[in-house]
Amino acid sequence: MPADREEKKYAYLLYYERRGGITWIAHLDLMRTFERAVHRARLPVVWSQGFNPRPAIEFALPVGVGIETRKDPFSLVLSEAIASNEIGTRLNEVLPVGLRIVEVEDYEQTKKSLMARVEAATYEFVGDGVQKLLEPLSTGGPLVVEKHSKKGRRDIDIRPGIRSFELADATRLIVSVNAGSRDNIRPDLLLTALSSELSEPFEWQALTVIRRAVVLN
Amino acid sequence: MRKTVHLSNALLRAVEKPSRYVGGEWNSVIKDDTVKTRFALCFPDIYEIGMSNLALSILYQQINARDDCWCERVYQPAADMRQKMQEQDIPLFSLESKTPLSAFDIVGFTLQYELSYVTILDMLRSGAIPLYSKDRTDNDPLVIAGGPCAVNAEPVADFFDLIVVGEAELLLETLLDLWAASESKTSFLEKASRLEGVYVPAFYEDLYDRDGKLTGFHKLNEDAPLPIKRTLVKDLSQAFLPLRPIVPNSEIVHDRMVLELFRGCTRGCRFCQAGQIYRPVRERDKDTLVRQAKSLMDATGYDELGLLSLSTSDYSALETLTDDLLPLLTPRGVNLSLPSLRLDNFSFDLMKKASSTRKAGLTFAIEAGSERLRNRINKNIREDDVLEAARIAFSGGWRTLKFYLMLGLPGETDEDVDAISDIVFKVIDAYYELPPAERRKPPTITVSASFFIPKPWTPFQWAKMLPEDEYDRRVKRLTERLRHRFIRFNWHDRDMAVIEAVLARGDRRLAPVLVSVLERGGTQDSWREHFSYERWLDALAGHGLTTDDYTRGRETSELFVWDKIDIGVTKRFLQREWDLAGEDCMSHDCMTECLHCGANRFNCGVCLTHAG
Repeated sequence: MPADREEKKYAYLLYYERRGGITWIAHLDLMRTFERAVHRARLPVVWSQGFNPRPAIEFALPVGVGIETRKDPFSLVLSEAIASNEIGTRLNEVLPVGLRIVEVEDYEQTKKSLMARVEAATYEFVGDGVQKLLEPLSTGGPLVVEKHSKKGRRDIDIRPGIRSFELADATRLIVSVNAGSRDNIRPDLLLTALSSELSEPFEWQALTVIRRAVVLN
Repeated sequence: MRKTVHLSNALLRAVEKPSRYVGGEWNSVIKDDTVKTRFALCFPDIYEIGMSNLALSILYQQINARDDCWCERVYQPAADMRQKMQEQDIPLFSLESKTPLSAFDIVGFTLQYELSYVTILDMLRSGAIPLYSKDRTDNDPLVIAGGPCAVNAEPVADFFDLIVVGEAELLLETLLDLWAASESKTSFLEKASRLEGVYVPAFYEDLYDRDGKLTGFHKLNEDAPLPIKRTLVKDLSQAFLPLRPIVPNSEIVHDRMVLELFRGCTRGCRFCQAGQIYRPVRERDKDTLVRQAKSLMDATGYDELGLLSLSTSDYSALETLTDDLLPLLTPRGVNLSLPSLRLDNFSFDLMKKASSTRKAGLTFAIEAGSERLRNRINKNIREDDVLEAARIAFSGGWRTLKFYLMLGLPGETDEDVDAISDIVFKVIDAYYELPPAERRKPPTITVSASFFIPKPWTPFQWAKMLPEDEYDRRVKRLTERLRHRFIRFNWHDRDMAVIEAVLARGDRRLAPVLVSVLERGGTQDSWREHFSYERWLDALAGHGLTTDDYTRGRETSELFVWDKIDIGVTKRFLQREWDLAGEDCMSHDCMTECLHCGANRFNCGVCLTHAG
């Protein structure tokens, strides 16, 4: 593996959007897709130490299958300083259709990992009938979802995790929720919970789900 | 503009791994849909399998290098997606433009393995294309095929307008030119049928006597050649060099860059079809491979490079190739993967250099347990070599060993079966020769048995398959003998092997059987969970056939349906090898001595460098 020598490190925070077909790949596949793009762009990425070295790329918040993004952050550590706009340009030349870097900034790494800094995320749900979800969002009772984990199944109330919501127009609903490693509200669980509160069946699966932003502290 | 398919959010959320259906990968090709010839390259299995195939990757890049053609990919959807598409009346579509299969000009299938035949029919059906060639008109696509099973494609011959026998790369350009200049399918097929490597099934008929014995072939078009000659690329430097393979967005089976070192194999194992049908061996030049590796790294960003051939160690410049490759790969964090290595000292050194971090498992393809049976099948491995390799492996830190072998080879006795367990236990003894301090991590020894299947164009094409219960008895015998905490024994599905054997030496009487299997719900039979033996037996019985009609031993005087093809190696050579096998006698490797197999008529490759 390259370089046991002491390497200089230059960290960057990149924001990407994803749209269209590539929205339907899983997070692990998305990470691999970005790794390969970094190699194609010949960016001098730093490798992690250890038994199975990986390129130093860290995503702030995993993104589920079928969720578009507009400005999702990930960090990239290089062994040479490269102008941030050049990093964006070089990556955009080699990213598959649907993925695009929208912003690059220098990043001062702290002890806290990028993942640990995630606080909230804003989602936009687009499609016919989305205004129906406004009512269960507005009424105050518990919104119960079933969570499956290693400890088994349990019901949790996600209502306290909803930070704000707004109907932008008849087909666009915007909701901000808690996100991150401690308290993460997944959009599919939120949509399932909201739909089950409606008296008539609502097929939320037909909606387009977009993560507009990830809020870091 | 041709109509395209829309994949809704609800549909994509309802299926597993929707990434299989959306396309858009790096290096996938999008063209203007007014391009003259629209070509659908179809692989009769799911995305992860089809995307791992090098031959299709080459053809995709080669066809798309032409301005007058647009080649797109079509795979069989997994069972959940297939069901949803049926429910919602969505026809089978291409990944690039989501165009329904029936809207293409040419639909090409690969014949990779016999158990994919019903899937091909399923894809035609879900693509709204009539199954039988005779039922299609000029408004339907031209449906063609190629690939390894084209050496005896008789069971599926009635479904294709044209089958390419041999390597398609050079012929393909001529065919596409001819297609572009032809006014109708009929005039195209007339002209195409005269090209070397082209088989137009409708121009030939098999003749049988009253007892159902094949007596000869009849040409239905007088200008069609008989025999049909296999085509190949004589000089690999003349072949298209694939430099921009598609990089999938989601994981596939073989997720890496690939260098094709050579085609063919000089060893002549008597059960092996690949060892005969790709003769003579032709190598790709080392410097070309190094140049290709550089381009592939830039074009893909992959972190692994695989070397592909039937036997990596037989590449004449392997040492200098790897010496040139490693300094290119290592600084960019790319691992070299080395399959099909003969386990000698050089290989162990190479493996240590190639993967500084990971120790992959080692494979011993011993094929048979006893020296006698290995002589019979012409597999030149000595027990001492196996044990020596195991010792080097254990002391070098390897702990995962795999043994591949076959049950039911012609002439196999219980002593031969027992010899399998003997050699495995001697390998375990070799582990205990290690000093105790090095024995902290116990080895895992996987013994993987497949059932011998007689294949056309091999010296064993005359062989009989064992009765079904005999396989079960031999597996049981071996299971009892392989009980040890280090050993994991697994074996292939016996019923699937029988059907594969039926199709491998099958004839045109099987075409309606395949349609019956499809109508009874069959598809993706190469997957154990989708395969139903009863369905096959019922379909065969429905057409007055049994598995025995095809798994039986053949007389050396018999004419075979595949004798209408000239593959290169002659029937006389194969019979000589079959006779030698009966005497447990080995034959030489082409590199040592020419066996006059017939492939020298191609006048290329190893036949030139190691003549006479």
